[in-house]
Formats: sequence, C-alpha cells, structure tokens
Amino acid sequence: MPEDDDVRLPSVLLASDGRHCVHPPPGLDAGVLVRDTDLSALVHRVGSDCPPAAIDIDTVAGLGADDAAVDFVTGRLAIRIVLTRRPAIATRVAERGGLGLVHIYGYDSTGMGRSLESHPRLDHVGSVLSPGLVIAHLRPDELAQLPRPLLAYGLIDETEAADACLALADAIVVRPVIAARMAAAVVAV
Amino acid sequence: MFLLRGNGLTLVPVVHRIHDAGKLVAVHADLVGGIRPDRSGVGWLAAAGVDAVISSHGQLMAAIRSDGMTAIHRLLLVRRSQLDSAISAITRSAPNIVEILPGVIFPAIADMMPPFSVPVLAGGFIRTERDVQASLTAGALGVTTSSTALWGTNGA
Repeated sequence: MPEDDDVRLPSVLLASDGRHCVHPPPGLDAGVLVRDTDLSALVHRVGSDCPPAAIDIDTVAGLGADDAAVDFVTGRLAIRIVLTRRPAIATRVAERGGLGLVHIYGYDSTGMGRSLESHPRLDHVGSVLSPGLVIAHLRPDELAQLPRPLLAYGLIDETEAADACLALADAIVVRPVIAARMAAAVVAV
Repeated sequence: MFLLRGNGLTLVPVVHRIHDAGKLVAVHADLVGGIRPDRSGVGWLAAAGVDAVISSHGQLMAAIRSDGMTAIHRLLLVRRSQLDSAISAITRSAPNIVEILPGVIFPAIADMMPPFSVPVLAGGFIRTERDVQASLTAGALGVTTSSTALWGTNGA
C-alpha cells in the first residue's frame, strides 16, 4: 500500500446495522461501522449520504468470505476498513490498499494467546479486541502483543469506559448514543 | 480444578491425581485435545471419571447431565447486541452452572443481564483479590483463575 494512501482509522466507530442513516456527531473523530446487516442493506447504505467507514464483513448476510467479496467491498463499495475473524481476509484487504482488522478474542489470557497465534502480523493488518471493555484489564505485556492499529469493540457502554478504552486503544466501537455523549463532553470541555 | 488444555484422551491419571488431592475435576470439552465436543466425547470424559464438563455448546448440556456430570455452560461476552441471544441459549440449555468470560468485566456488565437461576462463575483475567471481590459482589458465586496466588482465596 502506498504510504501516501494510508487508511486512517477514526478514533470512534459508531455501530450500526446499516438499515438507518447514522451520522457521527460533530466534534468527534468518528465514522460508522456497519455490522449485523445484509448485503442489500449494505449496498443501499453505501449509496446514501451516510456511507460506512468500516464493516464487520463476517456479519454481512449474503456476502461471501473470499477474495471476490473483499474485492467487491474495497473496490465497488469503497469501504477500506474491514473487520474479520479470518486472517486471510484481512491480508487480502491490506493487499487491496485497505486496513484489515483481525478479531482477537480476549476472554481469558489462554484464549487470547491462542487467538493471537493466527494473526498474520503484516503491515496494514491490525487487531480488533473483543470484547473491547477488557482492554483496561490487560497487562502492559499483553497489550503490547496486540498488533496495531488496535480497535476495542464490544460492551463499551458508558462514556467513562469509552474514554478509558480509548486511552489504550487506537479506536473504539460504541453505540451512537454513547458517541453523542462523548461529543457533548468534548463540547462542554 | 478446571482443565482447559492437555490431551483429553489420556486424562485418567490426571483425574486420579486431582481426586487424590481432594478436588473435583472439570474439563473443557471444546479446548482439550483429542476429543470432539459431542455426545461421544462427553461419554468419554464421563468414563474417565471427570466430575464436570465445560463447553460453549449449549446442546451438550443435556448429555453432560445425563451422564451424571455437572454441566457448565460458558457464556462468552462479546457485544451487547449478542447478549440476548446468548442468554436465551443458556435458558434453553439448562446448565447446572454458568461461567461468564471475561469474568473481570462481569461487575461492569452484570446489570445488563437477567438473574440466572443457577450459580454463576466469573473467569478470565481475574488476577487480584480485588477482582475476586468485585465479581462476588456483582453476584458471582465464585471465580475461576489461573493465578495460583488466588487459589484458596474465598471465592476462587
């Protein structure tokens, strides 16, 4: 991927099912993550005035888990940030000039270690820590093992927790209502 | 004692050693090597003298119970949007115990979950007595931890 064409991961991704338009609140470095949707809804949302910055490709019903699907998402749909549990998909996204983020499951230290073993550890392939809320409980050496950029995703449901997670990760995923509260707090400061 | 790794096909001596120490043995059917987490795999563990079987597969709970073992259903916390379906799966599977992972965040998300009719264990990244106490206060009956310093602590 050319260096002058690096994909930038917004600090905050707003989780959406893509069936309704979601606009990031002003004042927040934010984009929209579409997940738990279907292919038709995704294509419709891309053509709207609130296109997603990122998708969780494994949760799009009707979309395959192969190179053709990646090429469609990163090419035709121009979505350059792709979350996936499949290292090969994330690698393909990176080869196509995007940012692939591989799910790392942080249920316990043993499981996280196993999950990390399959990470491709390539440029432009980062990590999604699931559930994101656990990031505040990782030791520094565990945190250092997670390939960057690092997205904390899951169960971050209060602004205080969001701020704490964002201090450790490069980006977080929250519901729109939490993002609105974060933006309001920024304005208030 | 929870066994989360190792060879599920050669468990008998390990089970004997743990029993000789006066402890019960719970084996994670999804994680130990050599066995498949299905009805036959559960039967193999029962024959090995295992006291309890842990799995994320709800459909195994009935088989575990019918083989006379304690059924522990692991609830893996991922996202809020998946919580309802995960809790429904536990209601259907009717385990004897629910183990919630990562347990260290159980205190923060306990109010998102309904009360369970069976005991709850919290496991995963529990490393300090403070983590243990927070889980117990949030409603867990106990915690599971690989931090040996906590073994024997009230709740661990």
